Amino acid sequence: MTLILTPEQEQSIREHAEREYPGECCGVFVGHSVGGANYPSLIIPLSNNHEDGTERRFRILSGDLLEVEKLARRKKEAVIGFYHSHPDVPAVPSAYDREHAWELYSYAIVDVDKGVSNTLRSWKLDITAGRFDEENIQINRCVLEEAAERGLNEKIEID
Amino acid sequence: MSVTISLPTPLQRYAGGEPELSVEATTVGGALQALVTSTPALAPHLLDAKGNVRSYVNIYLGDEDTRYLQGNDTPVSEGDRLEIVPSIAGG
Repeated sequence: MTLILTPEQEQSIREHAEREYPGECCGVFVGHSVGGANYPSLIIPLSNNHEDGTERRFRILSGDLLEVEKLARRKKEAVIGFYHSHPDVPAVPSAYDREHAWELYSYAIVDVDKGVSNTLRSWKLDITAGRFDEENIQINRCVLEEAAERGLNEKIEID
Repeated sequence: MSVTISLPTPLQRYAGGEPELSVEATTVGGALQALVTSTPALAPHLLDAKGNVRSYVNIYLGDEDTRYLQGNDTPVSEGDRLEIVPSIAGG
């Protein structure tokens, strides 16, 4: 299991996390899944609308996710995962993360230590085992070429 | 009425990998029942034991959350698209 990001995509996640600190940031990955690896072509920061406040929780409005699903469909891609930050807490899924997770999505978490982004890790839910398994993150400038080599039949375009 | 139901990524595996399915129905509730009848593997992920839509699943008709319309009694028209949108939260 692998999440493939470009250096720019990684940086966009980090910058979003630092902007929202001490609150949690959140966003969505749109792209393709190939051979157990997720390839975002687009990373979209979204508003955190958790009813209990944003410093320890995040919630993506279903209406916002609906618009992303429509965009993904127009691009002939799919929502393949999400990212969020953990202010001053390790980038490890909490019990709350586990309770609200869906299988197959990549869940990237970046911890922000006193306002500075630190470790970026990614996880996938094993619904049978009832736990998160960590997946590899590859920072790869040649994301599109690698995806094409793995057998995607359609041209991937980055907006 | 023929209605298209879009499935989010995690549920597509229970529908043979299909991102959307078509059903015949006149209401949102009828469409969901037709969906789980034709694809029983989806049932536990969408509906509780009483047949109500689970709280972490959102059903949109166009741009409208059907919870704020008439729920399962919301009428649907030929060619309508229902979107199943998962609730995403954590922290």
